[in-house]
Amino acid sequence: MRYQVVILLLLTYLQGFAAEGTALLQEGNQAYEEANYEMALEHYLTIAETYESSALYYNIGNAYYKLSDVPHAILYYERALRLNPANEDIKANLALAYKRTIDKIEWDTEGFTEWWNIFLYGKPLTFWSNNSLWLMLMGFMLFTLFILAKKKLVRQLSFFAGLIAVGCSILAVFAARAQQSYITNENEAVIVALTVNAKGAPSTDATNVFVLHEGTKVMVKEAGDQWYEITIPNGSVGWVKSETLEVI
Amino acid sequence: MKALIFIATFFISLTTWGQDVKFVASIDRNPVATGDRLKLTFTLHNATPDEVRPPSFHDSFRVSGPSTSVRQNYVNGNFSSSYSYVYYIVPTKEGEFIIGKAAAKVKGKTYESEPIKIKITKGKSVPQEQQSQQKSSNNNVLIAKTLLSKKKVHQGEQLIATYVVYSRYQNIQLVNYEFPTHNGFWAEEVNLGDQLSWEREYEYINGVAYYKLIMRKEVLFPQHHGEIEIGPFEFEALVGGSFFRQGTRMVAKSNNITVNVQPLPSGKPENFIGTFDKCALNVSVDKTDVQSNEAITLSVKVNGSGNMKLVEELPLEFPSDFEVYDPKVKDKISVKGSGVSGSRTFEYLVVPRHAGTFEIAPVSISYFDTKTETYKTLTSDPYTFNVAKGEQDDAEITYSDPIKKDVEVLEDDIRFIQTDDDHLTPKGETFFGSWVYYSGMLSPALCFMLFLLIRKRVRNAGKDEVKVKSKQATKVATKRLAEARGHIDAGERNAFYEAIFKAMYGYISDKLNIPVSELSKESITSMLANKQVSNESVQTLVEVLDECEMARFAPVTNMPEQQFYQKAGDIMNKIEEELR
Repeated sequence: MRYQVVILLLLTYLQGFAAEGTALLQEGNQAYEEANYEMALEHYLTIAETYESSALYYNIGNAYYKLSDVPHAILYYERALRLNPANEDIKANLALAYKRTIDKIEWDTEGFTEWWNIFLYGKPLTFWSNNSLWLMLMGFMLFTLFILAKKKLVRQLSFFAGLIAVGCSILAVFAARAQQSYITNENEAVIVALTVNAKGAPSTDATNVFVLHEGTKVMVKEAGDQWYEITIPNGSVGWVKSETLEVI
Repeated sequence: MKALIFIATFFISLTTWGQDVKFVASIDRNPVATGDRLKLTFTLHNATPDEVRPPSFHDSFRVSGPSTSVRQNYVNGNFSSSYSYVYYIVPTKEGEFIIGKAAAKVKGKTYESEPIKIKITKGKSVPQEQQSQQKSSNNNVLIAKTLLSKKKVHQGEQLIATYVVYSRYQNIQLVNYEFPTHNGFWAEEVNLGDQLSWEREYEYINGVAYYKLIMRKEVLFPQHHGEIEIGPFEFEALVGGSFFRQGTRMVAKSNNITVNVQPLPSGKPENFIGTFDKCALNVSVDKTDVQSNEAITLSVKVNGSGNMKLVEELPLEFPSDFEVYDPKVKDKISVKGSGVSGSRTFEYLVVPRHAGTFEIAPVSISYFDTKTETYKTLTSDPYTFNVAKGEQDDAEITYSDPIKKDVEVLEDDIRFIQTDDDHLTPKGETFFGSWVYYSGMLSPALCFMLFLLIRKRVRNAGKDEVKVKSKQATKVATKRLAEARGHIDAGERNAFYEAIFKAMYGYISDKLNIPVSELSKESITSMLANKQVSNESVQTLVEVLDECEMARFAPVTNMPEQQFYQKAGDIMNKIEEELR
């Protein structure tokens, strides 16, 4: 009985936040379906000021794409993918958006080929955090059963099942932690300016090292006030002005 | 009638057009003996030459000429013309020789003659002095002079050389002349027109009046510094000839002249383009606001007087996104008696491939100014281009990236939005890691521990009550026995037995944790047997209890009260021991 109360409390906590934004999201989706992409984008961006979810970011990416703003579409697809790394829709649209960029820069997209990474990043963070809760709850319920049960078989079964559940819960916590650090590390950015000259030093007088175009994803090595030190897959390092890119 | 004339002229022009242009070399005899005179003719058919380049002759050939002649024919409706260049050659050595190709330039096209092989047989020997003797007696009738505009110049600075023939008589016929070949100078010939003519005024040399004929003018650019020598200008003429007489063959030769070329001062700046009397730089573009993939023409014009032909392409830096084609070079250069001047224009066709704002940095060139004798630098204005996105999509025309272009886009639209799965969470704070999450994680464990704790408490509490009771059982019983003993002393027999009875029952009730009301002899027997109390003790206990009951209702007892009291106390101690 006690546990049911806790579960109910948790669910209301989760649902309470969603309710506010959901209405706007519905309006945005409706506008999108009516091909009114400006309106849809406006709704989505209003939600995005306070909330986030991979579906929201994905829809924003779609709206930008439909409005031919490829760099921002890529930016939001990348953000969506951070929250839900295995979503096929996001991957497909991101690939399509990258085809419309100018620079042929290929990041190692095959990064998650090992089965444990596919397993780990194949599920969103909420999956891991929610399941860690459920498993922990189940584990201790089984322990309780173990204490209260009279029959020997029931006691043995419930004890080991409880151990497994608590162990899985702890593993899920690690998975969630790994994903959270993946989501929150801000070392990737998308170029949003049309053409950017990467400089050899953080100064407008410095020599141009290489040229990037809108929609190209770069790694941020160091983020300053006005200048960002970035790197591209071939190892080149350069400085660009902060307004020319957006951190994913 | 008019129509007829028109048709006639039409046909004439047709036939004229039909003629082939040919350039032919011929000799009047082959083989030739040394000392004999050979006539070499180059004939250009059906065209007027702009320039004829003679072949190089072997050193052993003594060459005179060329003399030119023009012949025009109109035979059977065919119009033909021929220009002939005739050389007279006296071979001095026997053997086989080849007269190389001559070239004629007609309207920019070059025609070449076939080389000719000639055999020279042994004839009379030709003395070397023969000709010079013939030409020696000049007596200052003819003078050759090379005049220079300046004798002291800087490297690259232009100077004008004028080759002049001075003659006492006007009726001379120039047979042969030779201008110096220049070593160390870049020479540009000034076009003096087709006809050379005597100057109107005499020029007096050593008090003697001479007619003056300017043979050639050249603009010279010294290529290196130091003393550069200009070789002699030489000519041969027939003087005083008439219709019947050939005239006297005379030669004249000018002296060698040395030009003092000063080196340019040290500290030559970057992008040096040469030495000029004056120079200007002008960079212009046809537009600055374009769409991507729209061509822009950028012209860099260098205007000045000096050796414009040596001006090379300037080091213009274009943004890497611009596709730049090799520049078209347009020259407007005039070679005049005053020197070479004009402009050279480099026209760049550039195509910005991508949108953005681009800047073309200013171009700097420097030159040596002969007037101020210093280096001067000219800088153009920078240009900023605003390139808007063109109608064509950038990615479709990525020229530098053929592999990327090959990608066949099968699905050309993005997938639809996700309308389900809207787990909106407040930005910045994920559920994972929040206090709710952590408390959610900890609460099952806490609840479980709480549960364990309470359970233990309840159990412990229950356990203690029984223990205490059992511990106190003996105490209470002893107290009651002592009470019973008091009854013996007082002689209250019934009360004594009742006290013993209560003490025994109370003791067992406390020990076994069973209320007195539920006790019976049977239950006591079975319970005590369960608790490993010996049969004998149980039997004795039952005896005592029976005796108590009996004594309360019957006045006669089996044993005195003192002895019974002892017995009850003993059995209690015994059970106490066995229960432990």
